[in-house]
Amino acid sequence: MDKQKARAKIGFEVLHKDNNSVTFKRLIPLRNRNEKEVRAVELDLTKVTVKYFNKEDLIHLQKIGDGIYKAYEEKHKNLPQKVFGTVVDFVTK
Amino acid sequence: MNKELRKVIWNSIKRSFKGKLWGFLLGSFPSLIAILLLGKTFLNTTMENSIIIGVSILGLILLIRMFAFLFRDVSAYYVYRKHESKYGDAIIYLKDSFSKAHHYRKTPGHQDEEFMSSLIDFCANLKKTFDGITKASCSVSIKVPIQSADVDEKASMENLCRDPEFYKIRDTDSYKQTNHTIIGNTAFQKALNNVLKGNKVKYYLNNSISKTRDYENTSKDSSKDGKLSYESELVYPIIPMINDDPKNILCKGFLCVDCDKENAFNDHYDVAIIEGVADGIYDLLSERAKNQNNG
Repeated sequence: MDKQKARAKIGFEVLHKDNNSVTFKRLIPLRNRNEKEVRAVELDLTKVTVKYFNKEDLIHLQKIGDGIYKAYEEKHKNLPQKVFGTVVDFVTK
Repeated sequence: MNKELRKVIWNSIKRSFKGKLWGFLLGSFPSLIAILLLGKTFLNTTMENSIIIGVSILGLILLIRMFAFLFRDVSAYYVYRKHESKYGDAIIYLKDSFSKAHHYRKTPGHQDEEFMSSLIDFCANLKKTFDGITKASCSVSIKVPIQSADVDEKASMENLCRDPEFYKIRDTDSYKQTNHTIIGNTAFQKALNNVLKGNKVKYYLNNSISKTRDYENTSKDSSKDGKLSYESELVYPIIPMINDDPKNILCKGFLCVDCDKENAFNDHYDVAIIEGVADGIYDLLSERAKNQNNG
């Protein structure tokens, strides 16, 4: 399948992109229109801009998340688990 | 028998004694006499037997009405208890999450800990909600696109957070190392297409994943047996419910709910819940981005 057909199957393509986001536009079939006309129609349709996260920022937030998950786990442990955990901590730490 | 059910039964019994029918049958002295004399008039019975027949007819009507009301009200009660009340629980769970999110937005100088806590709280409460609705095990995650050298349709998605029960089980090293692209996942691709087409339906719902042809999911690559641990999924793009510019919609990621049961989600209430939460998450992400830009 060539690139054009593959894109048509997906239904959208990149209109423009920069360091913070990528904007997608719809792809519509030619239907007796030339490429210029199709492009004009496509540009008039709804576009979606996907804002992306900086990788370092995401890792920073995921690390914060790890601490919150631990607090959740601790909160939802039942009494025997809590007692066992405390004893293990006392012996091993 | 609980107090609520007893009240429902008692109300049904009381209702069977009321109504226009009794007014018609017993509303006046002549109509009562007419009923009591039915046997005598049409069956040529004695007066005593005619009265017994008349009273029996009235008793039968009363019994039929009583059973009809009991059946209707008690079944409605059980439907409510078993099904609809789960959506009531959703309001209670999500009220807490939204109050946390609103607090984050209203408090100046928000911290990332509060931001993540709000998001994880949404995931945890959505999981609780959908566990109750589906009576099965569900998992909720928030996926965001990440910046990479080659950002296009192959834009990579990563988990920003997940419900606390499944984060260790699902977010394995293998899962984290897999490139979860938009085009490599039918759910993201279809949901994005729905937004681009301006469809009213913006979600992707699949209630029978293993039976769906041409279904693609990059998570299969990171599982040991190449199979997914869920059978139903509901994905909603993180976009505002009301957009200032309908020609250019800002999408900040995807809110994903999956369930190990087939036919777990319905496209009425379940979608409305996730739609509202996606809007709330959009606000949180926007608020943090605004705060970062100002800082």
